[in-house]
Amino acid sequence: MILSPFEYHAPTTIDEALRLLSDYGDDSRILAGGQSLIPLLKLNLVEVGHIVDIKHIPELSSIGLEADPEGREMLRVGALTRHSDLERSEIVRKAVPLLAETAAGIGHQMVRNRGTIGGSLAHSDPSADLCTASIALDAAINTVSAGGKKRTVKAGEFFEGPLSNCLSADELIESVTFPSTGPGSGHSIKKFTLGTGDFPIVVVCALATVRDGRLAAIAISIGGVGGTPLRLKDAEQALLSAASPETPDIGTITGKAASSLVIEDDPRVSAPYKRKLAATLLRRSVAEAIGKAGGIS
Amino acid sequence: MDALERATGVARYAADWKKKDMLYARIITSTVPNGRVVEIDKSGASGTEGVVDVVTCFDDRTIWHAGEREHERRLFTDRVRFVGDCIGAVAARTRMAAQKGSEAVRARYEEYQATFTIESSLREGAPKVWDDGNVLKTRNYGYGDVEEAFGACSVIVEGEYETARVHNSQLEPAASLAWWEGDRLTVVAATQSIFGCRNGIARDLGIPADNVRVITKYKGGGFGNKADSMNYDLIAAILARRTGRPVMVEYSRSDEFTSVHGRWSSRQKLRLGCDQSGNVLALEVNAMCDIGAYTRRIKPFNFVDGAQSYYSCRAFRGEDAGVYTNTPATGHMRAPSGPQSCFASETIMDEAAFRLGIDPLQFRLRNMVRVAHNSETLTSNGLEECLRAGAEAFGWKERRNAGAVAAETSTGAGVAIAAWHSRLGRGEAAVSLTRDGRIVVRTGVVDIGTGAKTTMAVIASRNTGMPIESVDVEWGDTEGSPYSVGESGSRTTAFTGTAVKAASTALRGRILEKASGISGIAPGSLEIRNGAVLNAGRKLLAVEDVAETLESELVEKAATEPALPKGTERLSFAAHFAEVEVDSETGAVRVLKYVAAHDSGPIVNSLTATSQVHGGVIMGMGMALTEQLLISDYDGSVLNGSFMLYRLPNIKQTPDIQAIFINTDDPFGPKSLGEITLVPVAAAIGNAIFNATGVRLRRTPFTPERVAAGIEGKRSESLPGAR
Repeated sequence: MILSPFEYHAPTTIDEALRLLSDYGDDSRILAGGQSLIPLLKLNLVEVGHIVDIKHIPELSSIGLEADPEGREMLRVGALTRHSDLERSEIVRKAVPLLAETAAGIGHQMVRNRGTIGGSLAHSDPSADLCTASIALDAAINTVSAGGKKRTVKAGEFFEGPLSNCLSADELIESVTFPSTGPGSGHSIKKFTLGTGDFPIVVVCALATVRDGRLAAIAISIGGVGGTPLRLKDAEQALLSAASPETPDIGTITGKAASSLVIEDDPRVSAPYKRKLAATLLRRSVAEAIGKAGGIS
Repeated sequence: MDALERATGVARYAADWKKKDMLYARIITSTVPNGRVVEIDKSGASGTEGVVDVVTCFDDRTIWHAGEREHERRLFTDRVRFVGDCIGAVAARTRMAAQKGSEAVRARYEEYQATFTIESSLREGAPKVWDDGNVLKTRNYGYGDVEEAFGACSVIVEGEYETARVHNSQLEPAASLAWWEGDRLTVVAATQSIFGCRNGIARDLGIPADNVRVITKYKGGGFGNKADSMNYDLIAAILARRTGRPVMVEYSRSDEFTSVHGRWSSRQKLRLGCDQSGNVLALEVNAMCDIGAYTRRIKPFNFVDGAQSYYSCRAFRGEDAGVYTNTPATGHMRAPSGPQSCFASETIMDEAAFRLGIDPLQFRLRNMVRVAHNSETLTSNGLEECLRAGAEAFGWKERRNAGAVAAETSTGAGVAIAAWHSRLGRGEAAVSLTRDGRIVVRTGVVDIGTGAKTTMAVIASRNTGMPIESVDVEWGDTEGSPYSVGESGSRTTAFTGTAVKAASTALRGRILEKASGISGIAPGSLEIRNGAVLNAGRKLLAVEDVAETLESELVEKAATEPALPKGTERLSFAAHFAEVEVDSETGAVRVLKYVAAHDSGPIVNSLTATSQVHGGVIMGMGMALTEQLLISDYDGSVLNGSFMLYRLPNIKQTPDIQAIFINTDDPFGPKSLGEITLVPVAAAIGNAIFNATGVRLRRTPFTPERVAAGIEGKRSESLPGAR
C-alpha cells in the first residue's frame, strides 16, 4: 500500500509535543515505536495530517524504582521504554518479573527493539500482551495533557474498547508504574498464537502470592476475548475462598471462569474453540503461577 | 554467485528500475463477482491531480492468451468473473495519484448470480462462470483393470481428502516497466521466463517477437506464477504506448493475493485395495478442483497428478475435473498438481498400513515402484535408498510413538514418499573464453531463487577446468541471451545445464588446441585443471596465457535436446520423515524434526540443492499447518490477502531440516529437484500427527482448531489404543 502524505513533527520536549497535539487535535497521531501506527498507515486504515514523533523527548525514556505514599516499592517506566529494554533491564526483571517476561514474548526481536510500552497501552489492542499484563499487575498509567495537566489512571479503568481508551486527543502517556511483586509471588503468562510472533488469539496472565503454604493473593487477566483485556475477579475470589484453601480445584474454577466469558466469533478461530483455549490457558497459567510462588502445601 | 549483490541491495529487481518521466499505474478492479460492466465513469480519475491516462475495457480489447486455459480472457474485461477482475488501469505521475485515481473510477454493473464453491457450481441451474459451463474435464489416466484388481483385494480403504487453496507468496510482488522506442517495446519484467514473456507479449499485442525485448536481471521468486506474459506486463506496455512514456505497474501484496493466481484447492475421493499380506493391488482417484474464475493457460495436464507413479500397483484409475467458481484465478504453483495428489494418496496408504497392522515404512518399502512404472522402465530409481537412508538418519524406530500419551503433549513420526516428472528438453548456452582469461557463460535463464546462476557457473567451471572465481554468468536479456524455455518445471539444471556442459566441454577442447599450438604437445596429452594447462601433471602454462594470444573471444555455442528412449520414464523421487509434537488440548502442532531424502540424480551443487529442499519443506509446512486462502461466501473475495492474516511458517516454527541426496547415476544426468521438495510434506506431517494422537486428518491445513476437534472426537469415542 501507499501511505497518504502527512506532515512530520519531531518535538524535543513534552510541552512542545502537547502543543502540537492540541493544535492539530484529531488530525494528529503520536508516533512512538511505530509498531502499530506505521502498519495502520500502510494499510490505509489511518489517514492523518500530522505525525508527532516523540522519540526525541529524553524524559520519556527511563526505568527506576520509587516508593509510593505507603512506602511500597514501585517500578516506574517511561512511556518510550522499548520492549527490549523491559526484557533486559535487571531492575524490571527483579521488581516485576512478569513485565519482563511479557515484553520478552512480544512479536520478534525487531518489534521489541522498536515497540514501546506507552505505544502498546495507547494503541489498546484487546489482545496485546502488555495491555493484559498491565491489568494483572495493577499498573497505573500516568498522563499529561495540554497545559501540563497530569492524571493517573489505573490500567483496569484505562481501556474502553477495541483500540480505544480514556486518553483525549491532546493527552500523552508519560510513564507507567507497577507495584513490585515481592517474595513469595509467582507469575505466568501463557498465550496462543497462530504463528510465532503473532498477536495472541488469547493471552492469560496470572500473579500469585503464597504465604505459609496457602494462597494469599492472586490476580488473573485475560486478553483477546473481549473489547478490552479483562481481570477475572470472580475466579480470583473463588481460588482464595476455596473450600479447602490448600487444594483449590484450579481446573474447575478456571473452567468456570472460561465458560462465563462472553466470546464472539473471530475470523481466525471459532468462539467455542476460543473458549477452550481460554480454559486451557487459564488453568495452565494459574497452576504455573502458584507453582512458581512455591506451591500450596 | 550473486549472494553478495542480493544481500547488499545492489541487485536491481524490476521494481528498482527508474526511467525518466516514467508513470506509475494501478489496476481498476471489479467490485462484483459475476456480471457485466455497463458503464464506467472515468471523470473522478481524470480529475485526480497527477493522473495522466485511464484505460478501461471499453477502450482496449486486448486478449491475454496466457490468462485462461480454455477460453479467451480479456486483459480489461467487461464480463467480470470475480471480485478483483481487471476492468481497467490508471497511469499517473506518482504512486499515490495512481492509487487515488483508480479508487475514483466508478463502474456500473449488471450483476448476475454468482457461485463460490464446487458444490454450488455443480448444482443444477448453477450460475454460469463461463457460458459453456462450469466444469473443465481433463483426460482420465491410469492402467490395468481396476475393477478386476479390486475384486482380488481383501482390504479396501476409502476416504475423502481436501486440500485448501494456497498462494505462491513469493517475496517479490509483481512489477513491470515498459517503454517504446518507435515500434520497439522493452519490458523490464519480473518474469521466470524472458522468452516466454517476450513471445506472449508479442502474441497478445500482435507485434513481431523481434520487436520485443524482455529484461530480467534478478528475480525475487515466483514459484510458477510469473511464467509467460502476465497481465501486468501487457498493461504496462499498453499504457506506455498510449501515453508515450515509460510505465511501471506494481502490485501490492493484497493485489498479489487477489489478482495473481495461487494453487487450486482439491476435493478427492480415493479407494485403495490390498491383499491380506499388504500388497497394494489397486488405487482409484476421483478429484474435483476449485480452479477459480480462470485457470492460467498451461499444458493440458491434470489438476491432480502423481499418485500413479509411486507404487507398483496392478491397476490405477485417475479422473479429475476443474470447477470454475467466481473466485480469483488459479494456476501454476511449485509442482502444480503434485502436493494435492500426494497428500491424499500418501494419507490413504498410511491408513491401509494401519488397518493391516504394518509399519508405514515397511508398507512403503514393500509397495513402492521399483524397476518399471506402469509399462515404462525408469531411467533410474533411488526411492528405496531414499526410504532406507532417510529412516536411518531420522531414527524412524525410536521416534515412532508406540502408544504413549502425555497429559499435555504427545509426539509421533510419519513418512510419505513422492515422485515427480524429470523431463528432458531444449537447452541453449554460449560459453566463451575472453581475452583476459575469464569464462563467460551466456544463457537465457533467470535466477528465480534456485541459485541457478551459481549452478551454471559450477557446471562451466567443472567442464572447462577453470576455477569458479574466473567464471561470469550473463543472462536475463532476450537480446544477447541464448534461448531458454523458462525457469519452471524443475528443469533449469537438466535443460540449460546440459547445454552449458556441452558448450563448456567443447570450449575446453578449443583451449587445449590453442595450448597445443603454443606448446607443441598434442591436445590429447593436455588437460586443464584449476586454470592451468597441464601435461602429465606438470603445469605448462596458464589458460590466461592462452587467452592473451586470442584475437577475439573464443566462443562455443551448444543447443542440446536429449530425448528419452521409447518405453522409458524419468522420475525424481523423495521420502520425507517428520516428527511432530501435538498439544493435546489446544491442538497446536510443532514440527520437531524433518528429514528429506531425495533422488534427483547426481547433485551439481549441494549448497543450492539443500536450500531448495529447505525452501520446499517450509512451503509444504505452510500448506500442512497454516496456509489457506480464505474466500468470502458472500462475494467470493479474498478475506486474508495479507501476510498478517495469511500465515506463512516463520523461522521460529521451522525445525532442523536435514536434506539427504541419493546421487543415483541417471544416464541423462541431474534430475528435477525444485518442485518435488514440497510434494510429500503435508502427508508426512499428517501421518506424524496420526501417530502422535490417533487423529486422522484428511483436510489441509491442520489448524490447531481442527486438530483439537479431532482429539476431542477421539476422546469421546474413548477407543483404547486407537493409533
